[in-house]
Amino acid sequence: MSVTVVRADLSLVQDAGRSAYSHLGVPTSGAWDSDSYALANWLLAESTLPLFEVLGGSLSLLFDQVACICVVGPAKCDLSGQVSPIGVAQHVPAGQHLLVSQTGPGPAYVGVAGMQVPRTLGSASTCRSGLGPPPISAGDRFETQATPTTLGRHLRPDHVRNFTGHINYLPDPEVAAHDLVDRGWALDTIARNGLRLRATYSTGGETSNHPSGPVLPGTIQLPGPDELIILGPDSGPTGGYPIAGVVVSADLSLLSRIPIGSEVELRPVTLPEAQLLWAKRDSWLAARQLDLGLMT
Amino acid sequence: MSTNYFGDRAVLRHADDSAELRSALAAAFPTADVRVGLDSVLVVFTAPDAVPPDAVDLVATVEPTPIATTTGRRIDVPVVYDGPDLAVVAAKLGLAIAEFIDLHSELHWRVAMLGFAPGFPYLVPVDPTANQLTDLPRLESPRTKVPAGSVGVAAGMTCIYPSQLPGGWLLIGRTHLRLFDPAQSSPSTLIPGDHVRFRPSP
Repeated sequence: MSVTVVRADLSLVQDAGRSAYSHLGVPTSGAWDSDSYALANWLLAESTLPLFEVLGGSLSLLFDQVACICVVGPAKCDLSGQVSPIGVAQHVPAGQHLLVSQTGPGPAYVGVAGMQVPRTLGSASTCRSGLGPPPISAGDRFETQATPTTLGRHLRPDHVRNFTGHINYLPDPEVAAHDLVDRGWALDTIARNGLRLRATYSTGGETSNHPSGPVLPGTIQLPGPDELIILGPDSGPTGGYPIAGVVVSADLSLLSRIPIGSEVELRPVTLPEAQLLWAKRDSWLAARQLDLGLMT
Repeated sequence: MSTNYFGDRAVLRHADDSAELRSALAAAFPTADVRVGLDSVLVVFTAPDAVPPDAVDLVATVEPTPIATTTGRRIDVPVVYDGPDLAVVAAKLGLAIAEFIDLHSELHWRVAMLGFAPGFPYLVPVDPTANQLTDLPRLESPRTKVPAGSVGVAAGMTCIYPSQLPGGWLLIGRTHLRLFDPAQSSPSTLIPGDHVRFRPSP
């Protein structure tokens, strides 16, 4: 059994990423929106299934045998000419085309139960440093293994968190937090290795480098007086810019969903508040999951 | 040397002997991702609720593992000293080219960290007082393509490009040594704490 890529504009394979090699300079990679990744895996009763991450345009797949699939995130979906639902575990009959068009902001995910992707350093994730499979292109073929179907599992329609204007972060104790909070920031560029934000008004000030130190996705760097970088999953494990703080873990997925040009308020929180936000994320994810109990 | 939370799922400890501390912290926290910088180590837990309540104290009190007793690895790197910036670097240090080659190849180097790209080592002199390269700058406009195997110097350190990358280090030579192979179980030829000598090669 296999699935063949008929068309792919900008799609990657992503799973939970590779974190065991960061001391060797290897980026973490992995699904940019780990919330959607977890929900897609739940739909297919998997935990670390490699998914297609649709970052732009369309992804079209052809199935040679019946397959159990799901689409999660901001997308339109069409099955051999018929509108097909998002956020549902469903069967695709043999010989049918699945066409997924990402509508954004941020990635959509397509899961195929039992899909096999070779792993590099423990992960199937594509990384811009050249690890993992290259970006998906027409003609790529992936083997699939038979798995129990999970028909009946679906997600509430509001299963993608929308960016509502602010991101919570833990300030570095050595940086005066008001410098960040008092200023407006606007999203300039967004990519898997990071987001670049520009101050909506300038305060001048000096830039400096500091000894290269370890960083992780969510780290907020200050490369210049009126510029911020928030590192994403494909960023390297070290960096030499001053650090202003780290985005709370609960908001990491939200970073993939900020429209370019948006004003972004960086809101400082305490460690207990960040831990509470993480606990709320767990219950938010659980509340998105609806199971009609048809699993065979 | 301080130890603090870094975000909500990681603890950062400042330390001069970061490579030695990394080995000890990786052994103490086997499920954590332990990242190493020039003068700090970051213990990244899988999620905020996987961080032990006394994580800061635990990370702060782990004793570094002396590298000599763990790997004690010494690696020779053959170098053809013919980099495009070799003459500039020698001139900046007030040395003849041959004198600079002697300086670089007689120094004992240690892998302080790997970063920037998979398998990219930052090497510092084992004896920091012997460091004459401290004032060497990086290029003001980084090159867009530095060939794999290039050996660079900047800011008291030396590096080797494991693959073709952009870069701003001053290039003094090249090696044919392969530094990173993701198909191997130990993908990086160099790991933090390794001792390295550069051997001039014709």
